[in-house]
Amino acid sequence: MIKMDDVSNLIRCPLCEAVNYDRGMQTRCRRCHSSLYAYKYFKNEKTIAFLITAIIAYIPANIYPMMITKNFGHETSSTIIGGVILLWEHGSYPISLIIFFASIFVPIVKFVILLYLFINARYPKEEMSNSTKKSMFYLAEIIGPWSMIDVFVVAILASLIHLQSIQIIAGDAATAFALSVFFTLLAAQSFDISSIEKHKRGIRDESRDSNTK
Amino acid sequence: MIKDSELDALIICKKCHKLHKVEQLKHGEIATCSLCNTVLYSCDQDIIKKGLALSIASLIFLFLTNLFPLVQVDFLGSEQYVTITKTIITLSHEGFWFVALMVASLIFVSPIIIISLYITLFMLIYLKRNKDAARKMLILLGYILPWHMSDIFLISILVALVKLIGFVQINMGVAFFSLLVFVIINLYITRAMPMHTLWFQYQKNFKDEKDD
Repeated sequence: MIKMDDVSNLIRCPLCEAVNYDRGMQTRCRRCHSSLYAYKYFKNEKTIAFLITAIIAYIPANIYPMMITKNFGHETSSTIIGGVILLWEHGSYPISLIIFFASIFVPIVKFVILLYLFINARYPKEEMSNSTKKSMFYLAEIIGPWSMIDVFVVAILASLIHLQSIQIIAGDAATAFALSVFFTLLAAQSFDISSIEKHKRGIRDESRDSNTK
Repeated sequence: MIKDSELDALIICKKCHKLHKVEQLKHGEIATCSLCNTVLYSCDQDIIKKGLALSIASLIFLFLTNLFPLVQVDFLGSEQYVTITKTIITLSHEGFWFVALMVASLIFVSPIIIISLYITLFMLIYLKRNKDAARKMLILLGYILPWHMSDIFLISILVALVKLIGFVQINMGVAFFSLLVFVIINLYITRAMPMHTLWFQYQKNFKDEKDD
């Protein structure tokens, strides 16, 4: 039988979802053989690196125009926020809300959640229960890809509206935004969920690592 | 130390990470997390046959989606249409090669790889052949699955079209409807057959063979 003491050492493989016994830093998944703790001395450092890159890329994504419309030689460019406001003024509220949600709300919520979890894993404070934090991470993982909507919309419009009189061209912000989304996805994938609760035992003890076969 | 067979009888909720014991379910029953009510696993005896049929069906719709125009617009007599490949080519022609690369991998390459992986996997598991290849495919599938965004692309098409209402006349193409069907089938496959169900089926069907 499984003792209750062992149960707290069980972790979930992020790749194949198998339950594994936590053997410390050298743990490899017993089923798919992917390493569960790839970064022995760089705990979640990869996550924060990807996250900072994403935040940096998010700044030009908001400054430069996302979409340039050429209408009979007359050029208008709009940024992400400008596009949202324009759509709101034109009265298409649902679309305006979708774009706002996908391009502004989702990335910022994801930045905040990942930053909070990273800082919390480093400097533990018992503000929230571990299951709440894990649900927060799950939320960040689920809503993350939806911020690609704006990039896809610009891609579709740019190839669809290519007429003589009216043209839509993608702006520089498209690249920056795509980069930002790409790196937030990487950040979420590289985050080690077990670090949310493992801090209770301090840094994972080396004695247990060396005892493994 | 806990044995692997005992670990196989456990499951961790993907949302709140609560540990559960796997119970033997009857056909059609669903097990949910006691803490957050997320669906953990379900029991379906024909899951491999169903998965094979559905993934072959979605391959057909995927072909239609990639070959035919998604949308066609009509503006003052001049017509334009868009296909998935045309979207990618236009982006790379305008110099947005990173966006083109990302769009290509998210909505063109990864669906093709995922569907072909599903078909070969279900076939291998059904025929109980080539355990090692099946294992490698399951691992590859786990890596590619988060990089599939056909559903988000579908919503993006709708958003783009609503933006165009009033400017141009819009005609939906064949590929739009086949994309819709593809997304629905794919949603069902990923919901009914998450990674741990696939691995469970893999272990169940290959348990006679010895490891390595």
